[in-house]
Amino acid sequence: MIPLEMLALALPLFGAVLPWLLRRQHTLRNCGTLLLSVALLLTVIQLLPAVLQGQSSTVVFGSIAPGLDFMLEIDALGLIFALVASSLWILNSIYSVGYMHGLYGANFEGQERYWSCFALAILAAMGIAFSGNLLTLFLFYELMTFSTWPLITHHRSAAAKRSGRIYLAILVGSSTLLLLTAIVWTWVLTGTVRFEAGGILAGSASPTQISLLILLFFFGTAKTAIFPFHQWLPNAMVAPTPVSALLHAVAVVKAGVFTVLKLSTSIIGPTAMQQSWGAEVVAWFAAGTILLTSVIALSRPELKARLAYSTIGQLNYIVLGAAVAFPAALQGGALHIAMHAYGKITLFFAAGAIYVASRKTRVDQLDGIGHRMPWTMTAFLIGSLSTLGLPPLAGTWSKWLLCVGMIEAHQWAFLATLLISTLLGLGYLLPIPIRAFFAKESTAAAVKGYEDHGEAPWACRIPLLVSALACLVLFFWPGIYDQLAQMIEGSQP
Amino acid sequence: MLNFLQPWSLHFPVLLVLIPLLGGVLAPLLGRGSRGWAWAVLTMGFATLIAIEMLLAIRAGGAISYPLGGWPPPFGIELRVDMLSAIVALVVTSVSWIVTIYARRSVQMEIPGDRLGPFWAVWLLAITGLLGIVVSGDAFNVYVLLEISSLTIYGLIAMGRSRDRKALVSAFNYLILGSIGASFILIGIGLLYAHTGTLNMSDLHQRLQANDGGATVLTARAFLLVGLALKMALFPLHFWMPAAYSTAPSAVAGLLSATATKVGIYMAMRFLYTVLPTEGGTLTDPNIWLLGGCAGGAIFYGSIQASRQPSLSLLLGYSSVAQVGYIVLGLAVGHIDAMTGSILHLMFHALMKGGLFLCAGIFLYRLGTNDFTQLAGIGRRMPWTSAAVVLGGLGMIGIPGTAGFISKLHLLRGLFLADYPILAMLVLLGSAMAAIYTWRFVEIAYLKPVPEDAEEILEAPFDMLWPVWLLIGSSLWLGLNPAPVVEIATDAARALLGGGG
Repeated sequence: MIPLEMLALALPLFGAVLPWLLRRQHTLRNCGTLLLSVALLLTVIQLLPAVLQGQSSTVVFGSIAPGLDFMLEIDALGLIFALVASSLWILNSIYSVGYMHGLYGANFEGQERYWSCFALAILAAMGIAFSGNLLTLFLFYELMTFSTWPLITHHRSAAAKRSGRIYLAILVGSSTLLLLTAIVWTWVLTGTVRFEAGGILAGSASPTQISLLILLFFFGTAKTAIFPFHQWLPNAMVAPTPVSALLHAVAVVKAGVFTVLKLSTSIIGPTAMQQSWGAEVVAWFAAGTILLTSVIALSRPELKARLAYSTIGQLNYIVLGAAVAFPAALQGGALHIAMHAYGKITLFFAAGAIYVASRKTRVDQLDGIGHRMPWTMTAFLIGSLSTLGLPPLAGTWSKWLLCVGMIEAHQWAFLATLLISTLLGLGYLLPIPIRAFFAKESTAAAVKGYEDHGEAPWACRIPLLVSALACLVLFFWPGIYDQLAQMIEGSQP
Repeated sequence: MLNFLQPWSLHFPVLLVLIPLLGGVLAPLLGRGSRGWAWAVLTMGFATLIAIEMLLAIRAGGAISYPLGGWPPPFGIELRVDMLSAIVALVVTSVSWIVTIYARRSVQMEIPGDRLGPFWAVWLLAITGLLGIVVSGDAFNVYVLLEISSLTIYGLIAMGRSRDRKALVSAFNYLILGSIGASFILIGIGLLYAHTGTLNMSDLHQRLQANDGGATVLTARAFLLVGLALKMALFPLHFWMPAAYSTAPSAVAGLLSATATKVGIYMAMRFLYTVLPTEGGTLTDPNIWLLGGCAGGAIFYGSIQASRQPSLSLLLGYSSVAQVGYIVLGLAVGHIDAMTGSILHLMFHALMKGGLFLCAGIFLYRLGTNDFTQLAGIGRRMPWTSAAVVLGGLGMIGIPGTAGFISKLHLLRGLFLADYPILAMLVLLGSAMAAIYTWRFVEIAYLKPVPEDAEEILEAPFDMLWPVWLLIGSSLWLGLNPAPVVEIATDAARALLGGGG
């Protein structure tokens, strides 16, 4: 029998092949992808009991040299990421059908590539989540970069080409120049690249070396969009909205923050993180990124760009948590991977639904749109509140824990950063739903041909309602995510 | 070990040279059509089999010494095969076998019918010369076989003239430079002979190690270094290579990139570590910085030039300049891991770059050109070939999951451990720059629209595609499961740094 971990990689791999096998049968392909995504979620759920009981097993699927393997090993943090990515893949597969078919027809150009690369990106997400050492993580990290490039350049326009270049330049540049250096350096210093509880560097590296390694690791993982490597994310918004939703609110960016959390807990070790000046520098950069992007988000009139800058800020909450590395901060960071994902994907889904129904892309066009699209805008309101971390929505818990972590660490400046950015967030997110419901619709803002639009198709609406509902449910029953987050290394005081 | 080869197992080193030699001599008798090609495939297949067996034999029983005519070394001529020679011999035979299988259609298109017989003869003789260099244990024989391979290669390149008249110029340029290089090597060998009175390589090494002879040996080293740098196209003596590879018949470009430069690098490893005196198994600092500097220049210059070439062949040619830089970097530092990385890269680069040149040949076969202007939108017109180019390019960058990553990883580890972090940064910068030139092709092939006036073209014929995918596919397989290959490369590196097999 093939191990469940391998099945979790094989299902999306099959999903990547499927579109090429069923080139003419779209319906069959769409159903097949949906089935695969459900099967993937079930597989990930099957993996839960063993991890909750604290058992662990490894699967080796390639070997470079003795002691240097490509291997999978499952832990609580990985399961959080895998659960989020696989559950949202289901919603996104439905949404993709609604969005792409709504805009470009059932037989849109490049559909095989679209579906195939999507599945590959999910494969990469699963691989990152389950990787048992730095080498395996790096393998899937790069796979994710390259498999999402065709999605960003989907429209093949000049803007898409430019964004694709920025995307690759920043992500590939940082990962080969910084991250790979750090990996090889770690390998040279310790003789291993395994993830181990409490880190592997302690004892083999001097404090200065650890600090330098932290800088290389954290800035090399540019998928976290930490300043000054954040520009790729707003540029990636030229992609079709389902891509922005799943990849640039969930899979790609969460792969980045997952990586830094993993590095913080299992390579460098929380104790070393707390004592090193490298982590301090990273934390200041993360805090700076949070404030900077919040201010930029205020000034962006395009809805998707505003959401993108908000995402950068939220990602750096997690980077901040990983850098501070006190128990509550790590736990909050891990939980934020999940909680932010459901809120932010709702917002992106809503932005896409608005575009499908009305072709509107700018915030100032959305006055009064709540009357035409009540479901969508209600979900948007829920998503915004959850993203900001206000009760009674999912984002509350993770933000709460992050704040507690900053207090534990006596980092008052970072605590203030979190609170100020929430206020700024109120300023750039909340006006949108409020004006949508209470401002008067202006006819000048309507796009020609779409003056009298209604809601987006159901295939767009159902996923965003489900994810909005999830934000609500996860506040009252954070259940499995909370349990997993408490099991993460270093999150026990 | 295969049973029917058992009785010959003692003679593997000499058979490896004799088989392609006989094959080459007989090839012109076969005349027109595909018969010459079939003969070449058969010959190379047999040679590959022997190379595999020889590698296994050496792995089991250590280096093989073969006295020609029964005269014991150092008086008679010795063929000597250690792990490194066996690896390079296997690379040369197997890749040229696959390239030969691929070459039928493209050669028939690019070479006039009445020259097909001689073409295959020269083709096999070039491989004979290269294999001879690899198995020879005698410095003067190395020079003789080097001339055999060089003269035949000039001829092979010049045969590109029916497609592109510039082939004559680039072949002539290469002839002049190649002859200068060979003369330098000859002068170097002559000086060593004058100093020691022997030509047997291991004997030379022992005597030089005992008495490093001051100015004579230093001069010999200088001549050898320059000559070898010319042969392996090390920056700044690389300039003949891109022109030669892009104008040669496309199959020849594939053959040469995978074998000729690799044998040049092999010679450099051989001479620097097992002939010339070393300091406790490594080079002296000036040597390291000289070679390291040239290698760094190669990586930068080659990558930058590669990203601004007008055609795929030229891009690949300059990319080879850069990749030679990687191999020389590991070779220069002399740390066991770096040397392992170099040997691995020598193998993997032969697979990947061979495959890429064959792709360029396929475009040439279908479109009549591989200029980038004509390749716009080729990703949709010839999806399998284009995908192979992308995967090969990812290997050039050294993305994890490709073979290029494995060699780069070992190279980096070696550079770190030998305390040359600056050179390690060079390797990383080089791979980032490889991303630039690879992505140039990707954007052209996948993002640009197909030209309006483009004719309908078919994907490449299957008998050209599968050798390409065999090369690229094996480089991907080795990217995930390289353990046995890494093991033999480590053995070879250890033997080399230990001063001879």
